[in-house]
Parts: sequence; structure tokens; C-alpha cells
Amino acid sequence: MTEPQSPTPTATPAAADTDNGATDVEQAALIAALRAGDEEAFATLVDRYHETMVRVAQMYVADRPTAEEVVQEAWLGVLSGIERFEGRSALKTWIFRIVTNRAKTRGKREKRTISFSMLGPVDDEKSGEDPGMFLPEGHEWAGAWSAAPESWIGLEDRLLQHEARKVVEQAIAELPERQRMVITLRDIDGWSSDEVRNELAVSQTNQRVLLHRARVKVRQALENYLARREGVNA
Amino acid sequence: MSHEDHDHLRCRKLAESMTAYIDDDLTPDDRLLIDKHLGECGGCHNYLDQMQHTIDTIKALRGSAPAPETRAKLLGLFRQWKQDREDC
Ligand SMILES: [Zn+2]
Repeated sequence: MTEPQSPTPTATPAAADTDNGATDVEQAALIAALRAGDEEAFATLVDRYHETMVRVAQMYVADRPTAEEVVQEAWLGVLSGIERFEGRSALKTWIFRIVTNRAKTRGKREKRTISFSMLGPVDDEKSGEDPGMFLPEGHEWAGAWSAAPESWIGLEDRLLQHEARKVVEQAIAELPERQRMVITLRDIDGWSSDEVRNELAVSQTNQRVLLHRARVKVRQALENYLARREGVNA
Repeated sequence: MSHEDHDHLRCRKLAESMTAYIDDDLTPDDRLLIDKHLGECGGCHNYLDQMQHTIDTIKALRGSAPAPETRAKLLGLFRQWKQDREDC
């Protein structure tokens, strides 16, 4: 054992932003360090992936505490498997496969078997843009804005406020399941569209449709929030 | 700006293509068409800007590190794993 370690968070948000691009060299170094039992290497992975792992697990199990348990098991799986990890896929991909497999198994045990394909055709879910935003068929300018969107330039401060985040969180929580999964992975966790397609086994087109619908609803929620604030300040 | 200028691409169609546009997932021709429309239509220009602000606000939800208790617990598991391994 080395000296006692204090749990000082060493996460670097800037690095998390580009974590899709963990280089091969960095990956090889992390794997070697983990095998050697280097706690710093493990802490790096925990800081980088744990929260996202919980969000992914939550797609398959009932609640956050269960997701936390699943992810804890997954970390043990990572540790026990790291010796045999051959690096044929990215470390991140391998880690998330472990999470997904465990979460699915747990979800089945809880009879909560959701899968993308079981949720029906994508078109069954409600709409993207509200048709009322545009001039109707038959109008000379059908399809043009009925009231043009206003500029949000200068409202950045309000959008960064805690209240705005709560609005976004709430809007995402209320989305249909698949839209919520896609927007969580793409926009909160910064996954690429390819990574999301692989994780959720969904076509490129459907992935984009779901993401768009989700963003449209969050945008609408923010617009309502900004309008409310406008009213308060007026 | 007049509506006739972008008759061929109504705002509704453009709004629906916004995610594909932001993801850079369009043919060069479609992209050009949209760029042209965006240059002429203030409403669509603002809509794109609102979408980008929306995405930025969503991104702000990205948690960096786990809660300190969770982190400490996981590091504890790691030490246990290491200990067990050395004991073998
Ligand atoms: Zn337009």
C-alpha cells in the first residue's frame, strides 16, 4: 500500500470535453498504469466516465440508485478484465459495453426490458417543430415563419443561470424515452453520432430525427423560460 | 429580404433540417441551399442561433467528476481489488 490518498477531485472539464479523442498513446499508458495498480489512473477514468456510465445505466434500469450499483459492478468488471483487454476496441467503448451489458441484465431481472426496437416506429412519436410556427398550406407564403424567431444574442447570461439549467433538465426528463437517451448521450455527454448509433442500435436517420425532436422541445422550453423572465423584468 | 427570394426553401423545411445542418450531415448541395437561405432570412438565422444556444445550455449539464463520496467509495474498491490481487 502507498500513502493514504485523499479523495481530491482532479477532473479537468476541458479534457472531458474532448474525451472521445483520448489518444492511443494516452490509452496505452492508462491501461499499463491500471494493470500496474496505479490509483491515479483509475481515478482518471472514474472522473472521466463515471457520471456518463450512470446515465447510460439509467436507460436500462429503474432508478438512479440501481444505476449506481450497476456501474459499481461494472467498474469491478473493468478491473478484473483489464489484464485480458486486448485493445481491439477503444478503452471507452469496452468500458461502456461492460456497463450496457450489466445494466441490460439487471433490467431484465427487474422485468424492465426496454429496447429501442420495442418502442415502435420513430414516426409514432410526436413531432418536431410546432406546425403553428409556420404559415399554413394554402397561404401565399406557406411554410414561412408565422412569427420570425427572435435573436437570443445578449441573453447568454440568463441561459447560463442555474434556473435555465433546471428548465433544461426538466424538459429533458419529460421527453419520450428514446429522445431522452439520444439527447443525453449526444448533447450532455458529447458522444458522436456513430457512438450513439452503436450504443442504441439505431439508424443514422432515426438518430438524427430523435435528436432533432428532443432539441426542438428543449429550445421551446428555453424560449418559454426567457419569455417568463422578460415578463418578470418588464 | 423578401419571401420570394427564398421561395424554393421554406423556413419550415429548413427548421426541420437544422440538426442535420449542425451535425454537418447534408449533401454539399443541400448545405449550400441552406447557407443561401440563412443569409437571406433573419428568422431562420435566429432559429439556428437559438438552437446553438440550446445545445450550449444542455452541454452545461455535463457533470465533470462524480460526487466526492462516490469517488472515495470507488477508490476504496480499487484498493481492495489491488489488495486481493496481491494476496493471491
Ligand atoms: Zn427562413
